[in-house]
Amino acid sequence: MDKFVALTASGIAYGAVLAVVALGFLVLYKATGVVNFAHGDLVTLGAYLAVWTTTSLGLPTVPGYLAAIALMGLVGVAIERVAYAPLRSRPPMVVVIATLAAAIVIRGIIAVWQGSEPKTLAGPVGNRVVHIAGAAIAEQRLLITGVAAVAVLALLFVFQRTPYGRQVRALAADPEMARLTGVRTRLVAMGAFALSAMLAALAGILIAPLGAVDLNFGFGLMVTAFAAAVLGGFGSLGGVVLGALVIGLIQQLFGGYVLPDYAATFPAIVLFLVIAVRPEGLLNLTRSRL
Amino acid sequence: MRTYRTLLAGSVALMAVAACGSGGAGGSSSHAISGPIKLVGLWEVKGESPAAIDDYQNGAALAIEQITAAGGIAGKPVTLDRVPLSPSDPQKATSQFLQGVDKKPTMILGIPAATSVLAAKTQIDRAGIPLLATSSTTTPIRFGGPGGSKWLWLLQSYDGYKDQAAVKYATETLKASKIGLTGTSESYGTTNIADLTTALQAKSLKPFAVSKYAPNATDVTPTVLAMKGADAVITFAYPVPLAVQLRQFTQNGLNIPTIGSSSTNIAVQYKMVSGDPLKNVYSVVSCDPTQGSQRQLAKDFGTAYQQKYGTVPTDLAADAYDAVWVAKAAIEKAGSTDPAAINKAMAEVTVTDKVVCSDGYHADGAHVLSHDVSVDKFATAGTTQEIQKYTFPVQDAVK
Repeated sequence: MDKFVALTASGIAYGAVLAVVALGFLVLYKATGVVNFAHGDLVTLGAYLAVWTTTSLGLPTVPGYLAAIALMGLVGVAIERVAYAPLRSRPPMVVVIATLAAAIVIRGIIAVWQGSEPKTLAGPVGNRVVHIAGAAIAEQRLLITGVAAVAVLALLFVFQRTPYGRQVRALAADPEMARLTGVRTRLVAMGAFALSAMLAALAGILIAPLGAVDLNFGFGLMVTAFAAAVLGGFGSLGGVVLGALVIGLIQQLFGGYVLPDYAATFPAIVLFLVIAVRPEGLLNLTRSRL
Repeated sequence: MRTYRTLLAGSVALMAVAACGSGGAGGSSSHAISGPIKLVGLWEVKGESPAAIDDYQNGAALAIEQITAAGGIAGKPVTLDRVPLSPSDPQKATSQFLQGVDKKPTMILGIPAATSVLAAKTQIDRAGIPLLATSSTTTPIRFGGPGGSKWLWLLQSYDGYKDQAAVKYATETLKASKIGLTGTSESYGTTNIADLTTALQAKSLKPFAVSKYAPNATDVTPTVLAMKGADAVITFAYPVPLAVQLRQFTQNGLNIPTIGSSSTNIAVQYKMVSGDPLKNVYSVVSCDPTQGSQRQLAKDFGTAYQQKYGTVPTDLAADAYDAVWVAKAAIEKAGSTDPAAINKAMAEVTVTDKVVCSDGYHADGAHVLSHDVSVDKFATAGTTQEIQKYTFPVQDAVK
């Protein structure tokens, strides 16, 4: 029983991080039609920035995290200006390739700036654990779950209750009509890139204290989160969050009980199965808009 | 439909990225040592790849500095060139090895990964230049194996000996009988898990549990929980996921004695793991070149290294340092820069002077030069103490 509880807690926390990463994908896709494959490297950059703000700049943990997230917003805007705006009228695949190039550039910049040696990011709760039903659960995992839940709720509020959210939804529903009715697509796109990069940073900062940060840190998360987004239908916040939790739990529980050596391959298998069998996602929410 | 096509095309793009002589011994007159001796190191320094470290270059450069101060090799000046060779990209190893050959070295040192040695095997055969590899010594690259070559010499002790040392320490000193095995799900991890299983079977034991994880894993909870109930865990993984594993043992309330490879020393030195997760952690390594070593030469090396670079050396730095001294001994024994003469000398020479990771390097029939394995114990502060040393028998060529 304690093993089940521990694996479930781990799966939920991992799924929560995946949800934050996947929502970064989704926000950008809905606002601009772009699937950003530099997202994994933005996760990595966010974690490195947090290491920098908390060690080199000496900021306390939480303010350091917040400064890193804010800086990532600026990075998102910069990417929009360099890798998206000049290519806005090109076919989507051109922009996708540009994001892959951006990924390589980001990785190179991190290597030059921070070197290739892995870093550690201190967490606000250290290695403390709590015991639930006989299972030891790292407090960091509870923190991840809580912060991710708050982030999802905040995102819901933004998209349901704010003018910016309504503009994004309008763009997602019918880009041409949205432009004709005065939606300022350039500003919306810049905001979406900034928001997406900030979500990537948040995800990186949440999970980094559990391990170490290196140049490959965000890539695996991105692949898994992409699978979660596809599973959820790439359509709604709820679908993506559900997809992320399902992936997280499948990976941990199947990895814990059935095929431990192949846990990392489950998301890729799910990705191919969903694309092949049910491309609209589990909940058929492709047509719904955020 | 557009969504489907975009997702499909994106997925394909994402997966594509993921996949992201002449002459005999004794020295002919045409090869007598007359000019500068050039050694080439095949290794990276920080920034050249995600897995790059400075340890090899630092260790070798220190040896070159000391040899130069003492008059060079056979009285001739010695230089060290370097070609970056990635430890994690065997596909590039062949071309990177050839870049080293193009520098026309007297001898080549390095190649940090056995899989890269294996990949470059054909070019090693063709180049006809002695290569003293600092990679781990896996079964296939020993002389007589599919990756072995008459030009290839292996500095480190055979990996199977490290596996045997880990099992020996776990069963005889820690008195463990329920031993779990973990590692990364690629060649390094899987090969060693297979050898560890064999070593356990030789002691009439079966693994308590076996679990592997991806080299880029950020969460290894299933592996950690699979080890619950074990008396000891032996782990062969890359430093980053190993650090995750050690941290997650603590985060899951487990304090199982864990024996790792030199990846443990790297993970600790680069501060990927520290404090409580290091309670009950050991490593099997070529040697301990720190103040915790039982060898005075190793302590002296550690002191000199720390003075020069401001950091404690790993066994990998010591391996590169020793490789230069072994090369010096072989060239001087050959009395020539003729590759064949140096290669013959590599088979005959015994090196005890200055080297830190072995009481005496001497090649066996499998071209393995060291037969020593040390066991380090970590303190929570990150320091090590060499608590055990094993010397294993020499081997014949692989049949």
